[in-house]
Amino acid sequence: MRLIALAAAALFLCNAAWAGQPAASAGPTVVAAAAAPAADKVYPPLPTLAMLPPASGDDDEAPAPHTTSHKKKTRQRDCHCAMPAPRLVVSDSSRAYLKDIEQQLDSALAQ
Amino acid sequence: MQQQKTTALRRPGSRSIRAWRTRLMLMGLAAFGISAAHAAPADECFEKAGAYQGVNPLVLRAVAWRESKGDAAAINHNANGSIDVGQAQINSIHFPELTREGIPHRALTDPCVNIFVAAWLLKQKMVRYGNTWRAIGAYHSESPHERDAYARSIQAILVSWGHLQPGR
Repeated sequence: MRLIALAAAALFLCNAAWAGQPAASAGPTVVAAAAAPAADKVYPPLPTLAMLPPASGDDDEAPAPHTTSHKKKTRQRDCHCAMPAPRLVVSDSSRAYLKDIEQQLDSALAQ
Repeated sequence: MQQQKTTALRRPGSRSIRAWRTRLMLMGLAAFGISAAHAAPADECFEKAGAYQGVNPLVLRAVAWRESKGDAAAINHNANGSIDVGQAQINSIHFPELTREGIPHRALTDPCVNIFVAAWLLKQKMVRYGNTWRAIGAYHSESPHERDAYARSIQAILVSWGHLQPGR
């Protein structure tokens, strides 16, 4: 019985710790992101990198150090077949619109 | 959304995080298509921003409606020389702090980024004043008269939408 109580207490403490540190590390981010935000804490305006689910792309990673071995590495690619295709809408009209907005902002700031 | 100085809560960000944010914003600008023709509904942004900061998404919606009728491209000049940008009319007084947080002011014309920033500002007030009408009013102004008038206007919007009982 005491063991169960200890385990429950440990689990509770772990949960409390995660709730207080939503951006603690990349590993448990899914758990952290799902936790309710703390009422007394202001998070950054946009979610931090650590709050994202594990990244599928690796273009931000630092280049691997060169090795002298000439082994061919097989690179595994994640299959995103089940995921919906991202909808990116960048057209000439949207570019023109953005440029117009930028000019409006610049002129507004200049005044 | 004229505001007096708000508490600056900054976090040091690494270059990679900032790069990611910039990319996220650029993707957001593209994905949410802020051209008039391709403007995606920002409905989800209210929910996500509210859930992220722990603020009521309905209040965020009411603020966006009160400030600009939901016009993501709204830019207004204030008498004090500042400007308000986007549907939540983020005041240019926050631009330096937002830049330090990795958000260029141009990104505020993205409806989703704008709402996330509004949630961030509102949360600052909630931390200071609690989950109160005072906090909502302080989003607009710290001056008691303007603050209370603004809170009442948000209250009226929520009542008119049927989310709030009159007189509460």
